Amino acid sequence: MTGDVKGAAVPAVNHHPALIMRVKQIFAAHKFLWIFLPAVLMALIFFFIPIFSLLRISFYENVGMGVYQPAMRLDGYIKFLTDPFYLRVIFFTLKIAVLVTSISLVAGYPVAYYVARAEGAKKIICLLLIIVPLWTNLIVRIYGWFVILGQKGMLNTLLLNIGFIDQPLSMIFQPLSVVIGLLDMVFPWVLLIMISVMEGIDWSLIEAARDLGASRFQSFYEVTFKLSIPGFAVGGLFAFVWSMGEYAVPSLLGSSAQRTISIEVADQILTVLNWPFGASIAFTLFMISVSVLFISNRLTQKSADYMLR
Amino acid sequence: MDKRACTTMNDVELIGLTKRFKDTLAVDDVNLEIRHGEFLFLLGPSGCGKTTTLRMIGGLEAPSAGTVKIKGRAVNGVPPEKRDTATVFQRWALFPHKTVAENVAFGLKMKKKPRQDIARQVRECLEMVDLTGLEKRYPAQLSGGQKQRVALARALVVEPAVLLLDEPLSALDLKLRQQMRFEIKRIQKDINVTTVFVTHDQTEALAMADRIVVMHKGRIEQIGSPHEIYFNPVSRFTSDFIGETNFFPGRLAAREGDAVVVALADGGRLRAQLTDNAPCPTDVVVGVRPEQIILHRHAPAAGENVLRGKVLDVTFMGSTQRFHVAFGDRMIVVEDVGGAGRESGWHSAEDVYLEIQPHACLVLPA
Amino acid sequence: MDPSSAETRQRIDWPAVALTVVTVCVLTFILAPIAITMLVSFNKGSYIVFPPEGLSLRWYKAFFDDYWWIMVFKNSLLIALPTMAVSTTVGVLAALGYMKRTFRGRNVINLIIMMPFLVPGIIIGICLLMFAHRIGLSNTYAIVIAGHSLWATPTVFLLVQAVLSGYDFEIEDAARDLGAGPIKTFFLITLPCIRTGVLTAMIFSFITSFGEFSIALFLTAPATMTLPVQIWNSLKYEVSPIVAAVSTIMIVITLAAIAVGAKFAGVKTLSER
Repeated sequence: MTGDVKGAAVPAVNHHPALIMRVKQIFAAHKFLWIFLPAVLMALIFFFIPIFSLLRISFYENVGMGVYQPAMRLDGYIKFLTDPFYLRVIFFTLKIAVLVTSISLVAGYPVAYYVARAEGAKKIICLLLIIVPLWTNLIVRIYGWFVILGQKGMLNTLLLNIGFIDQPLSMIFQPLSVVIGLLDMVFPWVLLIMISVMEGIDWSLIEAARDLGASRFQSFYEVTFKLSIPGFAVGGLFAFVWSMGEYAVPSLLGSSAQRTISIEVADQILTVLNWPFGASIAFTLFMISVSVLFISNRLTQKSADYMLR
Repeated sequence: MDKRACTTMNDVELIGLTKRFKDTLAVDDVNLEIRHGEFLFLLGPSGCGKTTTLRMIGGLEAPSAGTVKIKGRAVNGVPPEKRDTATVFQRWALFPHKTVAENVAFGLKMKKKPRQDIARQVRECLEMVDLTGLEKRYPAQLSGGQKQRVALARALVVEPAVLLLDEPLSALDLKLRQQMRFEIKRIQKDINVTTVFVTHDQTEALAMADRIVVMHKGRIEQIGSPHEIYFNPVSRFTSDFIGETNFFPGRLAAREGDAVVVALADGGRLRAQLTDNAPCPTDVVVGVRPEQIILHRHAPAAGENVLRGKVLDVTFMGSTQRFHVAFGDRMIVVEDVGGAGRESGWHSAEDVYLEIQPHACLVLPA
Repeated sequence: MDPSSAETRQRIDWPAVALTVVTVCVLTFILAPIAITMLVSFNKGSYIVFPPEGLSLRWYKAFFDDYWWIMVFKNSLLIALPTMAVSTTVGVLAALGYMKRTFRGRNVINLIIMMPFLVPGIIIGICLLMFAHRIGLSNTYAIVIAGHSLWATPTVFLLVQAVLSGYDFEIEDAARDLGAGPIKTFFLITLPCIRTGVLTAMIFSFITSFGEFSIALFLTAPATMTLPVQIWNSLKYEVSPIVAAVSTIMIVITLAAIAVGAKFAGVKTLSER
């Protein structure tokens, strides 16, 4: 195999025979599994194999202008993880992600509690109000924030009109607007995750606690809070991963001073055309996401144990 | 070879049937022959393998080893839609999106019968299970008992060689269950279809079966008529599972032809009548049903087969009195319907004498 | 302290009040951009100001007259419809298999299917971009459809699972027992009974693809550009209220979908994570 020059139509499947063989073996043994064939094939061909490709390309050497040569170099990773510029980017991304996660958990918890305890029409309405933003695409919602936070936008006009301020506030193209945008994206998911965990809590446990002498606060803390921690944690981890990897929000609601990991990646891949380097960053992001997912998987097991007891 | 002239009247044959799930052996080497028109019961506690065996006959499970033959033909590997069996499921499994008539017609539709024939057969079948007038209802609008009948009709209308019922009555309440038992038995006799019925309820089996197969941990414990199973259980498990039994462990002291004398671990001796001349192991347990023990307030004249114990408590049951008697370390349950057991005025800690006839003693391996 | 009954009646339940206030605030927060966008789209003036200067439909008219926007809209449809078909088929089959019974490796299958959804979208976009180059599918509709199907199938998978919790799998055994082969059973029994689930899955996989941005950004070329990508471009370079009109159209489509979905499957199933 000579160089993977851009544009060569080489079927990627041929490069991973061992994986394909193993999958074939498993499917031959159990006929029932055939129903999963399309899903597994799809994931395999369009996700797992491309991820391996990504990993491989991240080791290649950049020749310039979108062309790269096969090599085994860790340059990209080293540069990304040691160069002060990129370290600042990483730090900034993490800072934002942590901030968004904390706010969404702290503010979201009471809402989840409220909705989980609500009944009938009230509950349905609340759920609908959460579902609508969930399914409305992000770009449209970002546009909404443009209108709200812009120089001539809603908030500024309102505050000017009531004389609260003399000059329009600069609320957009700031870290603040990025945080707001990410919060908007993350909230519906976090809320639904926490609501579904809360609904699994047996409320008669609280009655039992009160019966045994606990005050309202104590029974809340000892029973509800402690039982909802795993759900809490899963929601937080998802919020963290998505805030870290989100591209549209920082690129639109942030200025060029707010660079996140995702912006770097897009830059390298689409503008600078340094694919190997871009791939290194992307793969790093991928690994962080996957590790976080595995941790959250463990926590869901634990919460399942709680519920079974 | 003309199959019709074949002398085998066995509709179903199970040969060495085995089913393994991961590391558990659900069905272990089951051998069984079911005659044409027979109403056979697979009876046992949960997990004994009876439902798995049934499903293997119907083709819904594939055996790990062994053969299933239906009407003389081996059907291993034949999918359920091609087998001449029909199953009535425990939770009925009625098609929710089809009416009662459509549900019952389904099997006939699959056989591609002409429409008029289907309509006629469906009508006749619904008459047979007493559901005329409900053709256009949907399963969600039916009661449990009605759903059961639809499931039954749906299976019967295809005129299967073997009818399979998987605990069909366990989801019904008691009165309905008793009523349906009678109906099912009647229908089975009328149509004369070979039937295999799975249940854990021994009263059901004893009431309805031509033959009962008692299963335990995947193996067949005993096969026999209800009478045989009840009065001549061959193992401790069968004796314990069917009806109630008191167990007296002991050792063989003497053998006199078809009778043995057993020295009981808790003291005393019992002479027991054996049902055959087979060799008897040394360590045995004597099983006696509560209703076969005769109570005496004072030691009876004939001293043989009399054990002495103390009354623990007496419960008035209406038609009988139920005694708990301490014998050695053991608690014996007695329901004496004939003798002193019908008298009132028993006190606890009172001495009581238990008389057990030799033929009421079941000698079982320990 | 044991308050008398009169005092308890007068005391304000502070925790409950605080709870309600927080809930209202958060819900307002997530709904605000949507509501505001819809209002602004009817603005007569040409700045994104609020409150709107007057009501008019001029921006909607501008949208329908603009051939570029219409082309982009068509592209989104051309991608979302096949995605809907593929992801619904794949996802429904997978969900059926997953819910029918437990089997060894069930968790592995779950992970394999769900993973593409759980990692950030740009990663999929980037990987498929590079992959597309190697197999010669760059800048085609096909690769975008592939990427979107990958992204939408997990959603279908989860949705159909929620619907299947009320489905009695034993009726499939009954159908087989009565003479229907596996394929007949699927079309005569399974599908009719999960009809609503399949429809809901179709609707929401369509919506997911229609509004998807991160993957589309990397995989579309100017010729295959989708609506969200075009909006993003507009927001980056010039912000015209046409964007508000387009956005409102998308919001309305989403609302319609939710309304239909809620009717079929109920709000609870839609909120299953």
